[in-house]
Amino acid sequence: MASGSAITTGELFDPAFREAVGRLHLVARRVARGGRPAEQRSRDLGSGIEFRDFRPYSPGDDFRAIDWNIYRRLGRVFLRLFEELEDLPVYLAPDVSESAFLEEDPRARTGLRAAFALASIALNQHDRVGVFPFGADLSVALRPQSGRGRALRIAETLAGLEARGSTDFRTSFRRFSGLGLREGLLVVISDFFDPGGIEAIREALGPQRHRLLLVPLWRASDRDPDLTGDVELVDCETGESEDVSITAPILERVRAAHDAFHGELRDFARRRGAGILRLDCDREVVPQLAELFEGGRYEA
Amino acid sequence: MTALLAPITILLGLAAIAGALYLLQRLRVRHRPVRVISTLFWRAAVEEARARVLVERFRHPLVYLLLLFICSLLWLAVAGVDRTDLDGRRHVVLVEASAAAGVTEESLARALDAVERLVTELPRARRQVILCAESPTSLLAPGEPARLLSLRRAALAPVPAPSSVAATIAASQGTLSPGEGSLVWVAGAVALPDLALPAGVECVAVPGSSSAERPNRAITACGVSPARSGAWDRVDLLVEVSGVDPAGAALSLTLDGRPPEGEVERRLLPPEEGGGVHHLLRDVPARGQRLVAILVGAGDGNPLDDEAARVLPRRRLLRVSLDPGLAPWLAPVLEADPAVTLVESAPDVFVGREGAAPDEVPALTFRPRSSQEESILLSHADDEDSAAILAAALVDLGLDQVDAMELAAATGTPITLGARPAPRREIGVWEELLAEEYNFVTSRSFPLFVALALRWILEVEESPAEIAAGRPLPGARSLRRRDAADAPVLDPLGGVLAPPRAGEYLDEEGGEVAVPLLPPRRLGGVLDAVPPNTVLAGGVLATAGTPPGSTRAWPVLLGLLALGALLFEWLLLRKGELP
Repeated sequence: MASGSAITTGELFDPAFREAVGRLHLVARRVARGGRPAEQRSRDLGSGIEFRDFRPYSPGDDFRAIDWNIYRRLGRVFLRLFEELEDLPVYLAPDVSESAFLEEDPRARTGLRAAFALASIALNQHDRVGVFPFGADLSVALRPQSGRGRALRIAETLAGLEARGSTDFRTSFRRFSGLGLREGLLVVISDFFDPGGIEAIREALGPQRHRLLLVPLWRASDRDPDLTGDVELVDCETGESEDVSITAPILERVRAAHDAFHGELRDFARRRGAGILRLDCDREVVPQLAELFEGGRYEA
Repeated sequence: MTALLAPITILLGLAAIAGALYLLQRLRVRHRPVRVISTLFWRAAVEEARARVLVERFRHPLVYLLLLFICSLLWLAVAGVDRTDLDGRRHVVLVEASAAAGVTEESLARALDAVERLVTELPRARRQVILCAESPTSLLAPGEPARLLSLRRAALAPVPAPSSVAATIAASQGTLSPGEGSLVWVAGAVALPDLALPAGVECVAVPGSSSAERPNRAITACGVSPARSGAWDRVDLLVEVSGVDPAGAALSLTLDGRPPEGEVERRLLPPEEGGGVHHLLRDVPARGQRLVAILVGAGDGNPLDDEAARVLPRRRLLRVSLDPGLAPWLAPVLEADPAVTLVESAPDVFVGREGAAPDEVPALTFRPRSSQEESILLSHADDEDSAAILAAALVDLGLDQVDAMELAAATGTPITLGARPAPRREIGVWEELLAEEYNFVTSRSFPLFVALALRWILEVEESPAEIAAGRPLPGARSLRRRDAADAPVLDPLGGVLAPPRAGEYLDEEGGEVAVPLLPPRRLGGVLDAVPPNTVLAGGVLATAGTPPGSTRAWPVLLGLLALGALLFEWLLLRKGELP
């Protein structure tokens, strides 16, 4: 399947699927200021219920926040500050390059289901969700918006995504940076097979000011390809071909290259403080997400 | 499996295979296109692999070597490598084809089958096959492909000739190299005479070339002898039948196609004398009849030794005219000679004094000493050699029985012998020797001298007692096969001439000579089976161990080895070690 939709709205909006992801929660360690009231702890101090700090009174402050007990003991006026609960912008960046739509069971199917699951989780928490599919370039399929009623819209948006060109992380995420979005959680769902290798990924995602969650779409055949004989391997995105005589040493080197790539991806995520969830495209999505959401929570 | 190709051809084939496989390896492989989501990992793997090959396009040297090994094995198995070269010996395969040795069409076919199987196992460059018939005939020369033997054997049949296996081995001894060692294979032979084989030369029987035959019966003798009755113009005939139960087969005798007159005496010989049956026919008039003896119902599959023919000699009384003046001395002598009849007219020979002989009649002349220098003067035909005549005269005329010294002493002069050419044969003798005081006339040698002189003058020749293929024929100078007149059997440079095979011959004067086969008498008459792999040691066939040079399983071994290599290749392929 080289083009066309990988999944339908009905498949995404499956009630069982939604119920399963409804038990998962996405928790931000601290969201950026300027958000809308929601359930995520933010760096804003205001009228929440969670005490955060004291500060001296200044003219114009709300008298209701004055701590009179301190005033009686110290004779000075201090205000009690409470943590503001705001929303967490979740930016979903599903990979819609040709490679995601190539196989019999395209990886985009798994990737879009994962994206919708994360979107549903965020919407349930009143977080805003935006959809930014990328391939050779990145586009804004759906600007960040919140509300549980947006789930269908997001599902339709995801189901309407089609393959578009080769993978180019640098170009795509340079454009994403240029969008000037509020700091949030950037979820990159991709096979990460950029022709530029791991360097391209580092260069594209390293400077991002958002929290990162990398979701590599993986299959066992990536590491142990079921190929024999003399084959001409044609890259489905670039069209470049490589004549290969399949031998055990060649396969061993392929495994080594695969392991090295994913090792470097993990190292990058660790150094960047990003989360990483490798999704096996031959397994169900929700159980694998549940492994990421330990105790039903994932702290971004 | 046949060794069809010469070693150089096999080597060229191997080189061609190596070259062809090399070119195939150099050819660009047609890769199967496969679309993949990324070649990211493959690029790294292939680049790493490329860095380790010497030649970019020749990337599978181990595969090439394995393929070359497999193809070479198959080629060697098919082409028939000269696989017994390690043996290093020369192999001479002799095929007995003599009917006298009991070879039948069936046994010859079996022997040739065995030889065909054998030659495929022998080193092609050092093996030859010889058919031992009346003379050795090459069936397969060294280096010739074995399949030629199949073509050449088509017209082969048992030959009515004595066995030449022993003669061939004896004649080959000079060419059998003791240094390299030689092995003489004998197919179909029943027994071999004692042979002095040179060191390093062995003689073995070809496996499976011989087996127990039906009991053989054969006519082993067909002889003619002067009649025991003393009649000059008659002979006695003897036909011997030998083999298993020789009396069990009837013998048919005919003379010029008719049953002989008189009764045939049958006499069974005791075992120590061969156990055969003698058939005797006495006092048969010797008029040149053709005697044919046929063994009826021999039932041994070998008809060639069941028939014998012989042309009887022609004997008639010598008509002698005697000079009356010499009758007192010569009449008793001539009357005592059974071959002589005294006649008054139309004599064959005249015996008398000089001048009394009729014209144109050969004579034994007694003349005065003064008219003849030599004591005895032989006059012979112009085309005869005087020296040869003189050399033979001592025996031919019985002069070796004459006491020449005593006679010389009595006569006071040397007794001399001379020869001269003349229009016809005559003998001149000093008349003085007839004198009684010289004792010559009264000596025991005188009747012999007179009788032999008459026979010499009339050129009466003794008929050989027995004529048979392969046996010397005294007196014969040349023979011609009646059915192959342009192939004369010549006197071998003064040696004794022997007819090589049974059949009908013509002598130099056009006289008919029937030569029977007459195989040697065999005790028991059974062709004993020669056990396989028997080695001749001192003329005795003894069982040997493993047949030398036997490598029948070699092509199979090569095939199995190739199969094993293919299995190994398959395993490597399954493990992904081979592309």
